[in-house]
Amino acid sequence: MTAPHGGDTLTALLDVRDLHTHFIARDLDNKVRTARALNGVSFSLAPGRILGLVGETGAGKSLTALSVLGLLKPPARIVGGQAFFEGRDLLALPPDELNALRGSRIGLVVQSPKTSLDPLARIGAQLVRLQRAHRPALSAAEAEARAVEILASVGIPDPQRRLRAWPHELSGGMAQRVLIAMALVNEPALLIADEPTTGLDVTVQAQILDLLRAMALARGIGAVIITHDLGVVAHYCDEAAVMFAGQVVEQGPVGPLFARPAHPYTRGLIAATPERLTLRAQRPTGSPPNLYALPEGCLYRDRCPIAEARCATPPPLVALPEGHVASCHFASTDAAA
Amino acid sequence: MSAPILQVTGLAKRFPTPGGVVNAVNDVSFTLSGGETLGLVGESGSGKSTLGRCVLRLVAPSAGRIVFAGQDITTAPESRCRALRGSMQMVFQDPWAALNPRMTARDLIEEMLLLHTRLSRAERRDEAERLGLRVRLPSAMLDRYPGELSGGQQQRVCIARAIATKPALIVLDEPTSSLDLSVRAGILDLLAELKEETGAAMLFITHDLGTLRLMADRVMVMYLGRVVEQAPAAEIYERPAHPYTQALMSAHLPADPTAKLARHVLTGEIPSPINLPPGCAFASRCPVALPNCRERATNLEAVPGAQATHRAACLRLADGGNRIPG
Repeated sequence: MTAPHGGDTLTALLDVRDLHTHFIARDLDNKVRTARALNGVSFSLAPGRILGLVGETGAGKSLTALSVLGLLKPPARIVGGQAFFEGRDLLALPPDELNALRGSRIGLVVQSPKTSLDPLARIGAQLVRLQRAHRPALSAAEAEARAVEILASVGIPDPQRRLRAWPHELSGGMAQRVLIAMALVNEPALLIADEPTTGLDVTVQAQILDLLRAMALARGIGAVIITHDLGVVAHYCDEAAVMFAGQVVEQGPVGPLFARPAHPYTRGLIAATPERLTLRAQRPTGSPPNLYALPEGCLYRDRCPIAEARCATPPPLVALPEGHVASCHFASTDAAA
Repeated sequence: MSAPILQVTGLAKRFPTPGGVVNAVNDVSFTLSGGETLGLVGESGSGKSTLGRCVLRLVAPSAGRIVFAGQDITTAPESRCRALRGSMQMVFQDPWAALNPRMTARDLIEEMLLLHTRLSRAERRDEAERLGLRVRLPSAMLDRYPGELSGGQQQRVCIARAIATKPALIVLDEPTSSLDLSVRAGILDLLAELKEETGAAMLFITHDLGTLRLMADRVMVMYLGRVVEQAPAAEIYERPAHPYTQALMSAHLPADPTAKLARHVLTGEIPSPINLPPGCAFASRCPVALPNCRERATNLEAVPGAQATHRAACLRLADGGNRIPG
């Protein structure tokens, strides 16, 4: 899958092309072993749109975010690809330029709010520190005023008083709001939220997602929401990119993608949601492919109910109506049926 | 459905903490018959897991009565509880934490037979093999350690252990919450088959209303330690009566972008379980609460115009104002 997806670097806010990330480590016998975790991830995001990056555990969703943001740690290594943000390839930027973007033009919201806040600093101090790191000229008073404003806008009651709160005094939902405030405080153009509501109660989840969507729309921010919850994608995202074994196997606007999923993996995933699930039906089984010994051709073919001989060759990227693309030998015929 | 296998009356569990007494479970009563699946739904801190553990006497209740298979086990000594646990089993949310990492799947299943049956060594080996096949773990898989199994396979081992002793009651505490969608579907298939085959009563604890709809015959909704509504499953999905149940249902996101959401977004803070308000615990977040909701205690009462088994604890049932508009 080397062909880039539909977006182009001029109009896309984020355009990830053929991203390959491997875990390269020496084993006990001193032989180099390579786990090919990302195998040509391509997707693009337009400004003001919300993209849901969806897939099961180990599909490479979070790794994609970490790769794009330059946050990988050894033995993970990017071995190929590009990620254009506002026309610049993030993967080729020197560390100080990337640092200047992260936390300012690009905001990140991570899954576990409790472990992502500095436990030894009050909420207000963390928000002030973050602003002054990117704008040294800003006075402490100005930064604090802005902190109050952003806390209020993410729905934290009594924000002036909350500046003095310690992270451990916050509930999970409140801590997640603070993290969203931190991601937004420097007015980013791109927001990446990795499982922003996993672990929160459903009634709180609704509040956080409403907030994320409203903030993104009001500010014209492009957002990537990483999730395994198709319900979140269906109701809060404009587009979805479905990942399997380190590849985006299908991307498209949410409406057509749910109505006419073109990749058999996407079809299986949608059929397994509780609303559509019929118990004791025939269903595809099998495990994700072994990242140390990936097969040639389509990576899904061992689990695929419709695989044929030609699936041993790499699947084409098929363009379907409405900006919907799928990487499958059967995509065009099946989507039409 | 046969005679009730489990009768719980006025059950309460209080945990003393340095900050005060946490009322985890408050005055909960229900019955469960053989072959029946009762879904227990609520958010974190609602007391649903504590209730499940109390029922099996994994924690000792502070008040109330638990009658299992005709015997009062509320204050039974630990030795008796141990003997009984062959006929009452539990499946936990995190299979990795529930399995001894230094035993193979086969030994883990055999362990249950060793503890609770008088089978010979050879019989145990055959039975473990049979149980493995039953939960669709082929023989070769049984020689693996938990660390060599996927999450779904680990949960299958836990289920094989739970059914090994042919229990009359199985408590399932979020058995599929840590699993991916496609794996979850397989586990739910298996549980539905076992429900029919074994005739065991199941208490299915979850926060996922979608899963519950597939599994439960009856549903009980908990909020801050109290049951706020109970009803036959079909009824509660069609006509949730308690405002909290309505909010919970409306917050569920179906994986279908064309589905219309009736959004009742809650505001207000969840009260501390240490200082529960005298009235309805949900009043602080309830869109239809009246001033006296915070003062007057509520009890489960029949929902007007519904099936007799549909009960909810809401003061506004009387004036019909329990339905959240919009």
